[in-house]
Amino acid sequence: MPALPKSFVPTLLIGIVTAIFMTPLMWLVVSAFRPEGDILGHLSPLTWEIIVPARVTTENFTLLIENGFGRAVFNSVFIAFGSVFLGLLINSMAAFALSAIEFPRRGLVFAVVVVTFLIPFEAIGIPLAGTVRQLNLDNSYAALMGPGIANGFAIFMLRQFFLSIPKELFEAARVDGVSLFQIYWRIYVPLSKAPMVGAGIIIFLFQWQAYMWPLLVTNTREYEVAPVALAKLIGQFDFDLGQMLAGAVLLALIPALVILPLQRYFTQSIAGTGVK
Amino acid sequence: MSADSSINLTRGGALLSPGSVEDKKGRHQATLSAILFLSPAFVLLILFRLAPVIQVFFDSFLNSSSEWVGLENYRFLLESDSFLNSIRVTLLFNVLINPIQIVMALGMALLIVDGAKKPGMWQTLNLLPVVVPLAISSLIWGVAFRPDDGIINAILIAVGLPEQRWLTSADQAMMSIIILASWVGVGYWSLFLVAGLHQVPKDVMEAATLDGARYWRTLWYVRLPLMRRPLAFVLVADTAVNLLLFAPVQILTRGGPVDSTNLVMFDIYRNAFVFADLPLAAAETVLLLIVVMAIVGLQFFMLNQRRSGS
Amino acid sequence: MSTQIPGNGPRSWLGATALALILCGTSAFAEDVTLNFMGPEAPAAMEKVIAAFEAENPGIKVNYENVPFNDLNSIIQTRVGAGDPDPDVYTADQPRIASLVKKGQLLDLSPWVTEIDGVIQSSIDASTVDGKLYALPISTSSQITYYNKDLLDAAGIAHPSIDPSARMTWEEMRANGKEAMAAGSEFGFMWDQINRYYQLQPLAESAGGGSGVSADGTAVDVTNDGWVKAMTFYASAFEDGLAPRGVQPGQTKDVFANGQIAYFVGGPWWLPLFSRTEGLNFGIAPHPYFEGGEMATPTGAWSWGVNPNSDHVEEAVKFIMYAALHPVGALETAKGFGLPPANTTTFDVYYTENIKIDGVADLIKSELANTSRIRPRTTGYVEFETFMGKAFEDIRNGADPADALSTAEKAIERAWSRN
Repeated sequence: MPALPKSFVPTLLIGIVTAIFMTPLMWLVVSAFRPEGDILGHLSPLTWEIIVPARVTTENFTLLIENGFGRAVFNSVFIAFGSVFLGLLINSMAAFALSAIEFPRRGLVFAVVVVTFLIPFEAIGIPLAGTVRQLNLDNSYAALMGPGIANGFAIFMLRQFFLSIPKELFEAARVDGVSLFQIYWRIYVPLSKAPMVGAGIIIFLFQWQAYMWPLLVTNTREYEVAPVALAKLIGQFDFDLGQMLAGAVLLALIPALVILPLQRYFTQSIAGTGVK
Repeated sequence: MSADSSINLTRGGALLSPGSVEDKKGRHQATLSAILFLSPAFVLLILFRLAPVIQVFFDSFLNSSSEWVGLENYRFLLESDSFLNSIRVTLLFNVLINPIQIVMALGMALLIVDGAKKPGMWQTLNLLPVVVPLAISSLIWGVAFRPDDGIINAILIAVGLPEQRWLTSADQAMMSIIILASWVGVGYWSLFLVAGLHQVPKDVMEAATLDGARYWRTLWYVRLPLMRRPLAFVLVADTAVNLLLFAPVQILTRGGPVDSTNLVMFDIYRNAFVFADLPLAAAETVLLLIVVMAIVGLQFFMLNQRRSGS
Repeated sequence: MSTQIPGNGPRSWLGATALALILCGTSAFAEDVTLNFMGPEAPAAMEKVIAAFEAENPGIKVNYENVPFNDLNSIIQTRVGAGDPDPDVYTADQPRIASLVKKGQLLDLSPWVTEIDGVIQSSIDASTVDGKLYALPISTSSQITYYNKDLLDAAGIAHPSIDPSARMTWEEMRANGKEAMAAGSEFGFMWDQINRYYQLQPLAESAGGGSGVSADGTAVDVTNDGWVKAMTFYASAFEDGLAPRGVQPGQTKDVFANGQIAYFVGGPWWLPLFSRTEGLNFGIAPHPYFEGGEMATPTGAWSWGVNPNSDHVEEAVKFIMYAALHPVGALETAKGFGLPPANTTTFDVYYTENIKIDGVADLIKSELANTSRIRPRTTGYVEFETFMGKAFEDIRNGADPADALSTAEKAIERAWSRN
């Protein structure tokens, strides 16, 4: 028997990997608390100053908030979580149809879903924004949320997991006369917590990273989203690096706070739910 | 009966199969239910993806004054060395980045699932790079990669290794973009593989905790085949994402040095948003979409072949 | 007008139309007009001129929309290009005016602005296409040399003179930069917008290579001896380690502010930042030139123009005239900007109030009058600038200058063939 617990080696290894992945983020966080002029002042040679700030300030954050970043963050949060809420429902319903129900041309319908996520959204953004403006739907949350709710990746991913749900469950429920919606809602969704969290993250990221589309369909600060607000800190000659990094810290922190309590679902297995 | 499909496009893992009751009514009802379940998502997909792409397809036969020019835009592209080079660069980029990201994501997922303490915490931490706005990630890595006074070279010097040119060298720029994109993506893709690994039945999971050669054999012959569906998703989705990636290139290299990072999607972005040459961007989009569909179609085909072969 | 009018014969339709016209007409007079104004500056930069204009013109409100600098042109294309009436007024980067005019995205101002006094001639030229004025010049720009006194002193190098007639040559700057590095400076010299055409055009002009575009704006020539000479010099700065690679424009000024470099050729808009940077002991000198070549300096900045689809053309023209030409308005505009105003009467007031370093105002005025070269006026400027920027970055990273220039020339010609 080894003296160390079994989990020691994997924990050490993932710790090292995570430390490497976290290093740029640590620099980001530390730099966000530096005076603007100090940020690019300590890059080389390698000294502790790269990661230990000589002077600490919260000025970057206060300036950012004074510039109205709070409103932009609210918009991004509202759009992203609104899209996740609606998107999880409709994408999982579509995935259920594509995995549990047999109907003619199902393969073709699935192929269409695949094609939708192969289309580069930026490349269709300009004509699509033209249509949205013609319909006078610009400057609205509907226009901002619209493209991010139905998501081919989320449908594809959920379908892959739904296909693994033992079909005996489905058949037994059908024999008992349970409706398809009840099967979807009471069996498939509860058995797919980890995939649903994953699908939620897919939908969330599309909106959280959205930049070009909000620029094309909004022109008031009322509907400004966070990445656009950060881009406005880039001027013709200069950019306010301190505020940009402070903004990035806030934008990483918010999803982290939401995901943290959901982390137990990452490790929840079908085996653990009593289904066999 | 168990024509179970992970990614089969033509046959389905039939659950609401008319099977025993081969009547038209049952099939009809199934179709109706399917339509009801599919329509909310499909209406949005048609409005926000399919209709605009059809419009782009028609635009690709027009000039900037909206006059019909037939295949002129396509001719211009296919005669252009720069476009053909960008296709080559895009393919090379994907041949390199997809295996790297998937192997790394799988490694990370295995460490998280097989015995690391606090698995949820590691998963959450490694997910953080993907929520940082891409413009900022690119900026951070751009500063880190600086050849003359960058942090990465400072680390290399400190441990006695030679300095590298990174983004400023035609030989290393693509690898630098791959490092950046993998930093963003590996934790994200590992999330789906962690979920997939947890679908493998418990007894197999227990065998997996054993050490040594048996671990790798169980992994290769038992666990990976059992999680082929999540793997198929990650393979296809990662490929699709990387075939269309362009933000780091737009921010850091603008396709250079000497066109070594000139990805097709970046070229489309530039034609559409910088040069306002929408017809050319439209034709380029159509050609890119054909290439992407061919590659992803091939992936589906091979995944299906492999399954029916074993 | 969706009001239901009883009866539906032709007569009542006419009546309804007339009524609608009257209603629209009166409401236009009775209600405030709101002008939408779009630009890349932070809202604070525009507050003063907008407040002054609104005070002087009751009934007109100006709503400023700040868009990210890098996306300004694509937003103009997608909105104005699609025929939207919004924005009514927008900021136009001067070298892009020819292309905007060609696409019908700028209103011809010649019927409105018959006389234009007290504006720097090069700025008027940059806003004029085929003899017609399409935008009003707001700001101008120039470049100066900043030097780090401590680093030069350590190497025993004399401080350069601020006198434009005694300006340094690029060759001198390179030799001095090497000496400064030998004496402990991390780098020798570098440019502010390190890989952009605006910054590097004067090198080619000074080496006899011209702007790279023919006077009529239709032919490109960046492979002549002058261009190759200028770019060979540019390449050597990086090859010899005098200037850093991989540093993006916008991050370059930090290298000077951190005391890592002896000379920095940059915009006067860094004066406030450098002045308040602790421990930075700097002086200023004119922009360099090539030995035996002509003296040439960058210039050009922003003009403001009107969207031809605007619903409020009259008010929009009134606003830009106030901001560019009115003695009070132009000063209020200038107060918000880091760039020198194109209005000559405002110029002196601006510099005495804002920049309190001896000699800077005179130096810049002298450069604007004698050595400034505007960027080429061609409808294909965007493509030209983009491919030249690529060539500069490639040369900076070690590509052969003649090859890179030839590649750029072919790419530009090919892109221009689309027009």
